[in-house]
Amino acid sequence: MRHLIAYLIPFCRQYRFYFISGFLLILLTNSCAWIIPQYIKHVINHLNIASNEAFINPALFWIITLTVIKCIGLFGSRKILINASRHIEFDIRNQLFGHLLKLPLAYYHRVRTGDLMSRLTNDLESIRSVMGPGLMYSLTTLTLLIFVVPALLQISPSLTLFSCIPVLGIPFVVRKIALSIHHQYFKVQQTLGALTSLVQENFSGILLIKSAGLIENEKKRFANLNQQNLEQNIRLGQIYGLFYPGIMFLVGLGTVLFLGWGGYGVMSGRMDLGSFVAFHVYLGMLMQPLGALGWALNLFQRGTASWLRLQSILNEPHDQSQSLIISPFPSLAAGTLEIRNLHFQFINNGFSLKNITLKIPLRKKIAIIGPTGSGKTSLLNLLARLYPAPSRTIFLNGIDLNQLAESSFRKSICQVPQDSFVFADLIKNNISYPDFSLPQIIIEAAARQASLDDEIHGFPEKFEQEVGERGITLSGGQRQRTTLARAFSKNPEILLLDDCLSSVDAATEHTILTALNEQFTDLTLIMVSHRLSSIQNFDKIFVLDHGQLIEEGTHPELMSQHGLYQRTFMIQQLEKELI
Amino acid sequence: MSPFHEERPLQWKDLQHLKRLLLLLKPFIPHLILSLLLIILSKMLVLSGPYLLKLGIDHGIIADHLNKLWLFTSLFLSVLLMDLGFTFFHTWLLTWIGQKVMYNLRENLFAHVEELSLSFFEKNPVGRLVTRVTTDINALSELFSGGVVTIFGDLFLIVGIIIIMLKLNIILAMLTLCSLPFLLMGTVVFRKKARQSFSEIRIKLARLNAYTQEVLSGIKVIKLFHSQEDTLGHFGKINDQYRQSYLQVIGHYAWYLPLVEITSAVSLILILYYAAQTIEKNILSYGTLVAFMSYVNYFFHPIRDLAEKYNVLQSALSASERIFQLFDTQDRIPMMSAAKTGLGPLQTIEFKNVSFRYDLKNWVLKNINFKISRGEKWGLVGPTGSGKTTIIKLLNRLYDTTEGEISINGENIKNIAREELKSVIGTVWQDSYIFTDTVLENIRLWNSGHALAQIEKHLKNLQIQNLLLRNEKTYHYILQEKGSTLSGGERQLISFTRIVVQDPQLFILDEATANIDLQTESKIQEILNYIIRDRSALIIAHRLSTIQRVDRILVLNHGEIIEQGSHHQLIRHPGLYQKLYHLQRLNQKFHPKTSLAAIEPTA
Repeated sequence: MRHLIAYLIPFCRQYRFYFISGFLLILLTNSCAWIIPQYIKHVINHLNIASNEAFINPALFWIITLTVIKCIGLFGSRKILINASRHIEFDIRNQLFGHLLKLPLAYYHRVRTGDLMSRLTNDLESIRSVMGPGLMYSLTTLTLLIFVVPALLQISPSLTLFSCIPVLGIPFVVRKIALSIHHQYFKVQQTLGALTSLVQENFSGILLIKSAGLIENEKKRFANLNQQNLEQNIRLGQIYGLFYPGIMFLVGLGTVLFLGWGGYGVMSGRMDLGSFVAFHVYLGMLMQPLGALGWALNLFQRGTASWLRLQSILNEPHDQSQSLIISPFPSLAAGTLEIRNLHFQFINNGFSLKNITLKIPLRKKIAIIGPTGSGKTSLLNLLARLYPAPSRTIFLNGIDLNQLAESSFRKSICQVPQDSFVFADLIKNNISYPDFSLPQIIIEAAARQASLDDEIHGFPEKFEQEVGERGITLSGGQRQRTTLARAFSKNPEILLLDDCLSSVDAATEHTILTALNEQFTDLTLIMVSHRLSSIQNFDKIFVLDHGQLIEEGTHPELMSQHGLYQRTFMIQQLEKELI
Repeated sequence: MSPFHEERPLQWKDLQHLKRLLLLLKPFIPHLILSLLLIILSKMLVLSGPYLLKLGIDHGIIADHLNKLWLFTSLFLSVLLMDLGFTFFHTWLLTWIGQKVMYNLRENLFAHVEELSLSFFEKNPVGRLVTRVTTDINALSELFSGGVVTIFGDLFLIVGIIIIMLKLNIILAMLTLCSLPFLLMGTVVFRKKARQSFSEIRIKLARLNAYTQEVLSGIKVIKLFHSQEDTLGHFGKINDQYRQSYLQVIGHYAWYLPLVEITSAVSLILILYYAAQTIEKNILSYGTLVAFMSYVNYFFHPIRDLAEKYNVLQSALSASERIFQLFDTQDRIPMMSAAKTGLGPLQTIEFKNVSFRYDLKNWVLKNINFKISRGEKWGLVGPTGSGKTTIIKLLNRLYDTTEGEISINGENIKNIAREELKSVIGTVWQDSYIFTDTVLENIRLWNSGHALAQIEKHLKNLQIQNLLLRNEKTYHYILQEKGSTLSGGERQLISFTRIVVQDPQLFILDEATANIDLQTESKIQEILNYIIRDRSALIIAHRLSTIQRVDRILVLNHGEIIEQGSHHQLIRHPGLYQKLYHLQRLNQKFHPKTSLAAIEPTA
């Protein structure tokens, strides 16, 4: 709780005008609320006096005027304080999101997206509830108590003592029940979760379930979980069943005690009838705010738990792949990209690279091949600096890769990953991403170089075509070529392609590579591929196996070595003949 | 489900859905009547509260009868206690009914979907079906638990207050009720505005969440293009739109409460003003005055509740439309009423002129004929998409043949009872599916006829105890389908062990294409040999080595049998099999682990 408050204080300071004016309006509301019953008392005490208009009419006028003022205060404080909480929510969400963007890729392998989403939605909302309704209701109730309790005491201390005992219990009852509702709701969600997984499991494993004759059995398992869900839900219903009636009972109990003791007081002449009625009105005024206070207490408790979950995101250190020493970016007109004695172990998938040493001449076409799991992608990811390489292992024209400034690095070096990720946006924006102001002519050229332009012209909206979530309206090959065009439009000096043409047929791949050769003469191309026929005339080919560099050379050189390359090539030739 | 779904106005066809929904309540009519009774009783108690207060004031305090004051005070107390009991009981009862209805509905829907044919599952995304059985049914909960019956309670309360007021003092009642239309109108307008704003919020929230999700899953691209700044800027815009939509709704909310306050203040003024004119003439009593002041505050709740109910009904109806649509789907494999059981020992399995297609255009299988006799082992080979898996799906009767017939011991499988067929055939599919349950249940598939001791014995015989019970050394360790606690090889081992335990007469294998480690691989070979030793078998092989010793091999291409014979006959005859064989041999020389699948041509 303390940490949450410490975190929120700067926001309170930033929005202090909201909070101060909100608080003043609450004071206004409550003071009106406090005065009104005085006038009611006044009116009632004058009811049985003949020609009472002179007393009553001004009182009635004040009652309605004060109610209007009270309502203005009510409207204003509510709007201002809740607005402030939305502004703070907005700020925190931006802060969290900005922080997430700066976390290293390894973090994203460690946490599940669903988990992050739930923190950014549910947990953030419960923090907002603390700042919004939580703060508003507690301020309202506490100031109201400050006004009303003395008023009650003034009318009758003994009556106050009696009738307020059950009423003051309301916040505690509300808080307790709200808490157990929360717990029970969690249990309901758990059983529902179990039920959902069973259904999910059934429908995805339906082949086995049907062929192994498990349907009756699955119905039984389902019935069991369904029963559990039913029971937890009914238990939740029980708690709800206690909630509202319980509060109404406490409220009613206050009225009973008031009627008995207060009535006795009036009869014994210790209190006048007007005070008696005014007391009743005051008592009624306290009920709803006290219930809200209990609810607010519950919000604080939940907010604290949510804060711990958000804090764990904010405590994650930023991506520190880039070293503190920044070297000037070298010219890439000539020279080498060199790897020296590189050992690397990926924690997340167990792939590793063992003692790789190789030299990539710039402005040449380079291929990396090897069986699945041989470390090709890992190597490419290190070259693209998606993961930090150990220092002094990769050098671009003699400068440690880690010492290059991020912005200039990304401007010159582009990678197209295996999983072609497209955004739910226009095809045009997917190509120009992230610079949507790129001229149409560049976008079209990039699409043409990626052999995508014909298909784009076939779309009803051409370049303005929406591709849908995750590019659902595109085929696998179209998605791959979209990401390829995205890289082309940046006109990079070094282009890393990670097997990103696997869903494209051989002829199209050939067209794309030819275009690359002709139009990007200065380009350093490093390409991972499974299709050996497409890389035959590359300047240099590296062969990896089990994380090690086992062969290197040009196609004719490698063919004469009778190693993995030559065998793989022959198998692929045979395959082509087969069908 | 898209956020745009729920917000459509009610239509004529909704009445039919509503009728079907209400029919679900039929078994609970006595319970419903009881809860209705309870609600009305409790509302009567609520109504009597201010009246008792009035009696206490008029006959106790004003009339100076202490005994009467005590009487009404204790009456008030007992009313409170009874109300506590009644309200609790009817809330509980209604929850119970609602949950029970959903329980039944969910059970029926699940059973219905489970019986639908395999092709239905291939056409419909799993996620959507799961939503029908879980989320959509949950959307009905409010309708059943809170909706139907409490509407009567709310109406009763409103009518009750009006009647009591009229009885107490007609003129005062009329004055008070003057404000009611304003409150009613205000509430309707408020609900409408709030509904519109909330659908706006839902749209904005969906957009915000979709973008967040997209960025979190595409974080690699954002890093590669160094576009953190742009992304944050775009996010800020979407976040702002979401904020704006909320700021709007706060406006709507903030004026509603003041409206309620002002209407009740106006009523109060009218009451007091009237009282000032009349009390002295003894037309109005003090008690009535106080009671009126209380009743005025009672209006607000039921009116707001009634407005709320419309929303509940609306979302329940759109969910029920989707649920009933699924219920009305009748895509299932027909079952004979007098299906055969007791086939006796397996003699023959025969495909006679079997052809199959999903749609009207493309034949998946064309005129397949073969006959496997008792104890024979057959192999199936062919490129991806040649129809191998379809053959074993037909044999499992996951589809029915389009033409021709499949028979076991001369009996068409359409006439054989489902349980009988399952006990004769045991299939290992390409994907080894693991259920979220213990190792034990995953092996015996909940057939409690197989005792733990028996399974232990099997695993011991096969010498795979150590492989399957590696770390945990217990049969009660819970496995997970997702979150890969098992390697691919271990999953396959479990699939094979299932067959050993099941002990079917015909073994069918759709060999997995995934590479697994050598140790597990050789273990699987061993178990495979054990399984097929004294059983009939039909094996789809990707590694030709798996089927070198089978009695007969069928080579499939484009849904037709293009070659058949023993391994030795086929390799001598130039054709697809021979080519596949050479290719695989070449490959295996260099990569002993590579399966045919890795180099299998795609048709």
